[in-house]
Amino acid sequence: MPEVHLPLSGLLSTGQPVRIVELPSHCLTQIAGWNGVEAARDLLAGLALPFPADYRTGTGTGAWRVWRIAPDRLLIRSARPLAPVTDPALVSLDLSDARVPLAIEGPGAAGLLARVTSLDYTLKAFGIGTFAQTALHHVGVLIERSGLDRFEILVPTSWLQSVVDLMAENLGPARDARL
Amino acid sequence: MTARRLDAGGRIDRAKRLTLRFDGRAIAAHPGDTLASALLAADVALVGRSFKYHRPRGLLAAGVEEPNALVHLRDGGRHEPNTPATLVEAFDGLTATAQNAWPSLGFDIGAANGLASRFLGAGFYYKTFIGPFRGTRFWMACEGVIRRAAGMGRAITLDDPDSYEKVNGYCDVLIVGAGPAGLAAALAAAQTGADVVLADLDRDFGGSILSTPVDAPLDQWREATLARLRALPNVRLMARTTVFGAYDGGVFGMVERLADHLPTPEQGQPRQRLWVMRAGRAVLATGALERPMVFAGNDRPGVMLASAAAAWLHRYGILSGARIVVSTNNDSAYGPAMDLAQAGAKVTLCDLRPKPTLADSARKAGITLRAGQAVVQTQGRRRVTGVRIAPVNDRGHPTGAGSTQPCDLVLMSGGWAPALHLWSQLFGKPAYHPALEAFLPRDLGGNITCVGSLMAADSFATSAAQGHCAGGGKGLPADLPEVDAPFWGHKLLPVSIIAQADGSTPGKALVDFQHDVKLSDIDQAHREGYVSVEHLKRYTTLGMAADQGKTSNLNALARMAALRGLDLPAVGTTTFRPPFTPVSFGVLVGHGKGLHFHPIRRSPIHDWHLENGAVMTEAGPWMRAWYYPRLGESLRDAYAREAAHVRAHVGMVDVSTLGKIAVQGPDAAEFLNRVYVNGFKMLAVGRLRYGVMLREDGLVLDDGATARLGEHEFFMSTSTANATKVLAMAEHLLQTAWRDLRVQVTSVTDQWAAMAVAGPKSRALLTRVSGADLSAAIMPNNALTAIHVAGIPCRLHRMSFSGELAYELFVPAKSGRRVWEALIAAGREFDLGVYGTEAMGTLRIEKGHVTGAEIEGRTALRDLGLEGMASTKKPYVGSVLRLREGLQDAERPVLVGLKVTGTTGAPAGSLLFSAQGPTDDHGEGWVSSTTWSPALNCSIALGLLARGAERHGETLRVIDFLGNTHLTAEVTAPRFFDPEGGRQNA
Repeated sequence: MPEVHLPLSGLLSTGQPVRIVELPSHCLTQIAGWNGVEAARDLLAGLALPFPADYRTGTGTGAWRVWRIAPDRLLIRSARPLAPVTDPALVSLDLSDARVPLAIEGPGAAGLLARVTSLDYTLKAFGIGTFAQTALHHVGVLIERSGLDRFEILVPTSWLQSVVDLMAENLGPARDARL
Repeated sequence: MTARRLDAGGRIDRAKRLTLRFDGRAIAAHPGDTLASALLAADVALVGRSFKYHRPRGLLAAGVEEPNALVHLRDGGRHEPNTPATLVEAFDGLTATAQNAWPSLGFDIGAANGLASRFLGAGFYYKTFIGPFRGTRFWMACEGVIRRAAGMGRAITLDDPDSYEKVNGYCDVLIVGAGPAGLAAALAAAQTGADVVLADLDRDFGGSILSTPVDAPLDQWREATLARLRALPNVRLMARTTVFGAYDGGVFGMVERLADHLPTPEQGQPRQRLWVMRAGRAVLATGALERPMVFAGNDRPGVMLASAAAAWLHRYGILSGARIVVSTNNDSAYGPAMDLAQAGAKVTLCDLRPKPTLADSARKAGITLRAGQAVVQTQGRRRVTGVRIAPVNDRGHPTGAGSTQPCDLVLMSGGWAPALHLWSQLFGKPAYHPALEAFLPRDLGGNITCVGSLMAADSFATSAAQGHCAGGGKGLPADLPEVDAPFWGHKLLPVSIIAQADGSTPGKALVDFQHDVKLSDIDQAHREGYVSVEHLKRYTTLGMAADQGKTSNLNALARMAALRGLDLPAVGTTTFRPPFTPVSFGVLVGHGKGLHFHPIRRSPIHDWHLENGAVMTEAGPWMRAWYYPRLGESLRDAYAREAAHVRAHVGMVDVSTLGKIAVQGPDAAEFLNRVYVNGFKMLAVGRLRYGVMLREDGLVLDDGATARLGEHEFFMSTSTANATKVLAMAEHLLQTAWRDLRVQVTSVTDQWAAMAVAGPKSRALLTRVSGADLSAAIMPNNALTAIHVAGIPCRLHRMSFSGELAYELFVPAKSGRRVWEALIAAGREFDLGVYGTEAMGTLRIEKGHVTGAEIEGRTALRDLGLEGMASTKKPYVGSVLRLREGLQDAERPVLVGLKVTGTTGAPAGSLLFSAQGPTDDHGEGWVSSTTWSPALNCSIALGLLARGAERHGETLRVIDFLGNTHLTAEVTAPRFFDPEGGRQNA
């Protein structure tokens, strides 16, 4: 079975179109620390970024995006590399090459994701600006809803092709159809 | 049985005609028919043969509970066995064949089994073949015959050409079953604004209403309710969808049959869709299944459930008999009987009850009523031609000889069994209702509500009201029609088995039609001590497999209760388990097959390997370049060439698969000191060190090199296989035992591509591409430095797995291929060759380096010759238990080298035996890794050998019992090549 390549368009079995595209890579930096979140809060304040309220809501605009991915960890997307962390209560780690950002868009975007992940993508449960960390084909991914019919996914680099292949399989033979 | 299609009536499209084929015979049908209704309309009485005795069988039911009419459906890769004809929607060109019959349904040689039925009763296999004949040639001879004869449908080995998909669904309220209660529940729930899913296995919504007259008030209510539901945006109506399993947490398994009613799925469409539905709450409105009566010959074609005859009449416009005898113990059979009489049949109704409550109504409908009597035996060969009717007492025992009566159809109704399968899957044992002689769901509150016939609702109004309330409606539902048709449970006499007091019947009386379990089999099981329902089930096969006892459970329990002198609840019932109906493997698999059987991990350089002719191999989830064959080269030719090239020139291998973990924080050094057996606290920044870690039980977990990138920052590498395990252990310890340590561990395997450059010219090549001073003085062994290759910032570690002067280059993953290709280009001057994992293995075996083949969960430090690395000055994971007596035993196998005679090599797993002595045990050790060594020009291996360190020079026998190869080998030190390490330290 040949591997599929991005960008990829197709139809769900329900007839809804979907498009999968690879997004330009921004910088991804993990900030981690100990003993509370004050140091991380200060770091974000210095970048004029609000501290995320919870583990499901990202903050930031444009290229800037902050996700709280664990009690003691933030993942920050930025257009340029962050300055080295100087606070001894924090460590930073460049993960820019470790994830590939994809966009899943179109009326069938939620339906496609419902075929490959076990999350509720109704607007009520997964509103715009909401994100979740889940398994897609057993691979840990971060999914954020960026629009009514648009989601962005961070996929570990080495698993990317396998994840895309599975999504393409769910689009069936009509996957080359244009939106 | 002389069934015929009436000129009017039913829910079929008479304007269109379809042609089906059953056993090659053309059968006319209309849209709306099932295969079963089409066969019945064509007056086909014989539709299958029974499982064990190959008795002729006809239609018993009209729905999901049908146990007899199992057919092979379709041809080729779409062939599907064990499909109830009652669930197969008719379409033009449908092909079906009878199963369990040879050479034909009409003349089935297997029917001879019936003559030997005395010897084929319960426990036949156990007694005959696991008893005196066990292990004998006689059994072996019989086994083949029995295997061919056993089983139900015939499976195929062709690929299924259809596709299937899985979808995760969510809803506030899931309603299972679209009968009166389900429809009312759905409407009420939808009107609260909830997100509602209404699922029904049928093509049409309506449940039992579909078996009532078209356009009658009840049917009009159904239509009106459906119209209202269809107009609501928060309702999903899912027809042809079977909820087959109920699981904890509001999870339900559902199969939506998208294309089973079509010749083939439409282009690009799946045949079926598996829904994993998570519901905030669920309303179970799964109805009830009519219970057969047990009497002699009750499985003869032409004997069916009364509810089935009603469905044939009202849904399919079929009068299933002209002279009908009904045998019942309750009021629910009167409705079908009167409808059939009105449709033109001559109906005799035998009611076990001496004073039937609906006697007057029956007589007014022209029915001959025989109160206090029952059918005790049927007559006929391949279809019913008559019955013997006799008076019976209140325990179902005939009290007189009775009389015979010709007929062509026998209907039976022994009460009803709530379809509580889903409820039982969740909650186990149901409650017994003595007046109904049935098990009902217990009211447990929570998020599951049972309504309608499932809860023995006694009327349409009660059923709809229960549904309305469960859906969230207030008061009573509006616009309910007045319906006085008797629901089940009315005045039921809890007797459904017609037999003499000793259980005897004047012929075979079937309890489980699908598995040929007779009343006498239950009696026999009881006599032999199988009195528990669970034992009864397994000893007799009653209620097992595809049928799951839908029509048999209650009658079997009733008989066992009578035999044990207990009431039914004291006997108990078995617990239902998913699935409610058979589920195809295809839909469970979905897309998880072939390429998608498991996720595949690819190195950033993966495509280059493919483009350059690499043969790939799986390494856990990774795909790795195994070897790069030149024209005509075998695996061995290729890897030997690649390995030799490395030792002579320079080679490069993709090692991006290595586990990589960032260890950060002020206590990172202390953390590593506790994880590794050797010390890491004093490791200088810019240096790296080989380390070994143990499990808590003292056995070796993994090894690898860890580099100190900064005062508080380390870069740990692990083996490819154990990366996840090591990270999980680190996180576990940091979150539990070592919460005092300020350390973060993060997988960076995906962040870095990695390539090992090895060989005498490796330094020259890397110097050329980086422009850096990599001289031994600046860059000694176990040092690291930052360099740029092709403009990409990389990190170079000097370390050797091959035993050559070697480096590992870590490159940001997305630039991995670019740097690899830059090295390839620059390497032409240095005669750079690429090598795969097989040559990498050869090089490390020549050096005696251990990998997962040796660190395989059973070996300790001492076994691998690594004991000297263990610090005595600090504790570390496994430091206590590695000293336990068993791991210090001098007899434990330890790592040795083996020079194997001949050129074939000794397969890994071969056992090691002394030159003399028996070879009938597990030997004194085993071969762990093997290769042909181009450096030594002989076959070599690593192995673990008892007292191996003392046995260098000894000759052993090396035996592979699986491949039946017998070789000899000389025991050596594990390091075959350059034991002093001069080459790697150059």
